[in-house]
Amino acid sequence: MVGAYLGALITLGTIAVITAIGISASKDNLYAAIYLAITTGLVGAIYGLFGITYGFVLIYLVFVGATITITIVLAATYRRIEYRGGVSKSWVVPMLLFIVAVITASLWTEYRVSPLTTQSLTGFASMNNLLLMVLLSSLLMAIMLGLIMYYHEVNKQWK
Amino acid sequence: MEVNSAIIYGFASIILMIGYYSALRANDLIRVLISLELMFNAIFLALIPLFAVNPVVAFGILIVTILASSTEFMTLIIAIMSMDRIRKSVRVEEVKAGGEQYVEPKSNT
Repeated sequence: MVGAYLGALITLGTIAVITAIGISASKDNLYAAIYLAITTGLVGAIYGLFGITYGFVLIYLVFVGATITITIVLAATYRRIEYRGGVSKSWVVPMLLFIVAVITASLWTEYRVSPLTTQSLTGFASMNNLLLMVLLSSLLMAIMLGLIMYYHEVNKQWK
Repeated sequence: MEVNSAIIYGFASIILMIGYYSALRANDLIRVLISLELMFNAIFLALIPLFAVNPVVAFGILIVTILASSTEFMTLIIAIMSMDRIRKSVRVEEVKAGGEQYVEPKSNT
């Protein structure tokens, strides 16, 4: 008998894998980006299931809310029916071997994961860690500004 | 309430391999970008068991991963837009080291 908790994890994971297959199978970039948003949402939901509230919020706000939204807009702009190219389908074999190896190795370790309590993450809110976050955010802003300036330069050059 | 980590690692490895396969089979850069984002999802999933060992360290790694991936994707998006502006195409074949021109392969028909 599968417990409700384990059942929820398997359901979320299975739907995430199905939508990930949808990314690879769909021919339209826009639908692929929407499938990606669903997969990321489900990965965020698994974080929520394990009680990692801050991780859940970060994934939804930064990853789904910003990065993937921009990807959806970009995919809608460059929307086209894709025809397949690239490597042959025989690459599936080493990939399947990798999946089997990972599952077998982690089964042998019998390592168990239990849900967190929110209190276990309050230790992160120290001055040093907050400084690290501020520095990383500033770096992000600086890179964004640099990128915008670069795009303006390219735009001017090729008008 | 405990779950074997093999389930999480299994889902993470399946999503990672689907991302690799999608990136290898893609022929336009938007699809490569989407595949990379899918691979980062697998990384987030693989990080969950670390929260059970040391939540503070795992959370720090998660923040660095999310910020680094966001910056990386913004850089890629700008690169794709710039490439479209210059080459008028977002096909994978257009990406060449050193900026040499892409020559269409000759057809036998």
